[in-house]
Amino acid sequence: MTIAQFFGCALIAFGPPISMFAITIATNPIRTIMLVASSFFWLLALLFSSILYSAVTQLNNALVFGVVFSVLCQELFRFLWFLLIQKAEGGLRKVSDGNLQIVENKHILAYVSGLGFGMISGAFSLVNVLADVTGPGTIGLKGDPHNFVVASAFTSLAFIMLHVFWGILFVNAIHRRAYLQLAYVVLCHLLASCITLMNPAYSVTIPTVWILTILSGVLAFIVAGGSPRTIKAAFSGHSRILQVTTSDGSNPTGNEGM
Amino acid sequence: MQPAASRFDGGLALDDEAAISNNHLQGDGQQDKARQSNRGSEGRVRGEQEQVTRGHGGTRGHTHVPEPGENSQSAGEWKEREEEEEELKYGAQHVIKVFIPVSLCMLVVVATVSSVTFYTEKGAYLLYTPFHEESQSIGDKVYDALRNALILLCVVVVLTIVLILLYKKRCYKIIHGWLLMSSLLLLFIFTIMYMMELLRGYNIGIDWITVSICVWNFGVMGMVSIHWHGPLRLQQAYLIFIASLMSLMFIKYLPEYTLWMVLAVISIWDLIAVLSPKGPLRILVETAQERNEPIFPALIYSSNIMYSTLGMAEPDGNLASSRSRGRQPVQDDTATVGDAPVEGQAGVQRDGDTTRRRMVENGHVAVETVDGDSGFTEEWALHRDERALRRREQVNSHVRHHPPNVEYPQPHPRDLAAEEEEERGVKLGLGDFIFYSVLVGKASSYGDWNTTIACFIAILIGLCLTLIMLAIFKKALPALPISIAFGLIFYFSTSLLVVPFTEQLASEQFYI
Amino acid sequence: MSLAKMPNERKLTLCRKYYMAGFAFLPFMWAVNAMWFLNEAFWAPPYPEQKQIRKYVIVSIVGALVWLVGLISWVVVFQQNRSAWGATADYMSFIIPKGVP
Repeated sequence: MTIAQFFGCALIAFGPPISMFAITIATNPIRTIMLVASSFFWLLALLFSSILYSAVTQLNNALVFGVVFSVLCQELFRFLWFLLIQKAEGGLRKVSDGNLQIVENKHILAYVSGLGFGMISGAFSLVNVLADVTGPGTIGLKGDPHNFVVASAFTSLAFIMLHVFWGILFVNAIHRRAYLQLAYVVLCHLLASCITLMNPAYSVTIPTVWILTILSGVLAFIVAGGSPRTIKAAFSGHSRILQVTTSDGSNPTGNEGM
Repeated sequence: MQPAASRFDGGLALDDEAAISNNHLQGDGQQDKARQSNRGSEGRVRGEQEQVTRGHGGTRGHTHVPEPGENSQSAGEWKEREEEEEELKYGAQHVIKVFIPVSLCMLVVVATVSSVTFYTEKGAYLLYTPFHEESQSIGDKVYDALRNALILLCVVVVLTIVLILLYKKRCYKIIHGWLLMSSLLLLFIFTIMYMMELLRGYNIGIDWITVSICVWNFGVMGMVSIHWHGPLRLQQAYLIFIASLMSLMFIKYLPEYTLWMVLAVISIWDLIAVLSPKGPLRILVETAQERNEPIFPALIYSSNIMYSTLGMAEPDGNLASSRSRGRQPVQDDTATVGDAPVEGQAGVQRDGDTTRRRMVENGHVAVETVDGDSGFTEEWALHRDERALRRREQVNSHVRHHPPNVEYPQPHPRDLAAEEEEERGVKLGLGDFIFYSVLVGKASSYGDWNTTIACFIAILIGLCLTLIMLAIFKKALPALPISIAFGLIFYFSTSLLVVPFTEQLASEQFYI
Repeated sequence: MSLAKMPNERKLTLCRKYYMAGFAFLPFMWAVNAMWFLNEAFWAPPYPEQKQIRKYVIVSIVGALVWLVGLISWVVVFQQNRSAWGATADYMSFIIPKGVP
């Protein structure tokens, strides 16, 4: 059971993001570097929130406080990351080898950095659990939930996807100065994290988180210029439509669809 | 390989000098002047081999007529500009080309460390670390570690100096013997040990006959492909494997605190040795460039360079007629000294325009000495870093446009494409591989994956920053300090601060 | 290194050296030789040395395959009979697995 569970859960949580990575990012050096750099920013955010957490660890509800603060911290670093990209745009333009897609189409960069945030956060929340699954121990002996690992895997997947969508929405919001969207991203992140505070009531938390994920996904899709027409086009193989690059150009979600 | 009569064409040496001489960051104008003058002299020397007529205005795919001594300064200037563009353009690809092998090396180490307990067991230590950190108090341990690290550093420094002396005195035979011996040792004895631990870890019984055939094949092929000719991928694979074996040795045979201390100390040494004006590695690099030789054969990972090691046995002149620019072997991996190839190869570049290209070279040679001691031979890698910002001649090739001019058989389109891919290479010393992997491997040996991932990302970012700095400063830079500093910071902060937090979150299933 | 930039006679020499070396119980060398020169031997535009290279490559492939089959069958035989052979097998063993008869 252990090995099977390990692979099953690992694939549930990381299968979709890894295939997204392999299909849309790995082939392009700049995107890969951006992915790594954005995950580095997430790490920095986590580091800062951990410092604060260890400072307030005597508090009663330190963990809840840690979660809330960490969410805010992540959004702050998302903003800093965005600023950094803005600064580095000139350099990027040179590096991108004539292929200016990544500079001109903000959504690609947003998608890439969102995926970077998501993958690293998913890894941090799940990898150790997965490593323990293979180990000599087992879960659920002392009245703990049996489906701890599976639930963790599904929630991790939801959060990875959420990060991708938040990334797209966030960058778009800043570009268009749509502060409502910005607020939506931050609140949605807070809400999703706070819902997981109710774990292990999986029947509540997982559906809610997934509803949020789908909602954010649809929003991100629309924001990125997607419509039923683009979906149809993506499936019928006319990738031409994906390269309609004005400032709100092509849709990263379309990439997933392919 | 025939000993080549005319081994060096002088172009590269001056080229590299130019790179080195730009060391101090001056005002732009000054720097440009320096560069231009270098360019000029380079042009003069190289003259006979290549000349470029510049018609870079509108058309791409300039033709180049070999025409001695016509490299003017304005041409140099233009080249410079073009070169910078090029460099940035291909920067991203280069970074990835370095990322992949580094990640692979780390992967091998981490997988081994976390699946075979042998490498995390304590017990035997290297001769060079006489203080075994057996005391309870952390202060004493750190003190022991510091002393161990300093002893190691002394060994490294002494060996570096010995190597430089040997190199200065042109005792190539000794150096090559040294390198051959160490790679022999790694490829056979250490491979057998590795196999033994792996098989023992997975409890697989196997007989001596199979093992000896496998090891014999593996080792000989390794020696051949590292020190002689072999497919590039194979050579890269062997170098990665060697590096991971070495770092496993470090992880196993260095006491815990010593290892962290060694990483810090070595990075600082790296910084000093490469950047200080009389730094030994810098002297080494400069000497190598004066002689226009590869820094050292073997034990440098190169992402694509191998083709240039394969000397074409034709004199430069012949080739130059069909090609605008001679290509100099930046690095050859041949084992014997008399073997350096003559080069003058054409490369194909993407859109067929001529550019000079500055090659970011990050040589870092690991040299091992052998020490027969304490029951088994212990291997010591003395690493040294050499960084040279190398400029590489990018050749233009109108091969595509003017096939008849080409004297060697016309490569068919697929080959051209492959060459295009291979055209620009990045080199990273095995020492860098080793110490990166040591850091990540040691982090993973405590069984916490978050720390491992954090260290991995931090090192990659450090590497990325180093490459960016190379592109900006255009001077030789050590590859260890930034990455290792990031790695150490992230290791300690993650294991002290982040892990308690994330553990708590994961067990409560809170997501952030 | 890229074969494309090598003159033909060098390719041939290299291929032959690899081929000869393979006889020193080095089937891996043959395998590498075969993989490396496969394209050169069969799909490259023809040139005079190609015929010989092709010959070496074919022999290398066959040799490597024979070795592979031989080695695999030996390992299978050994694994099957290790316990039956008793002390001899133990004597031949590089690693004696724990807990496996």
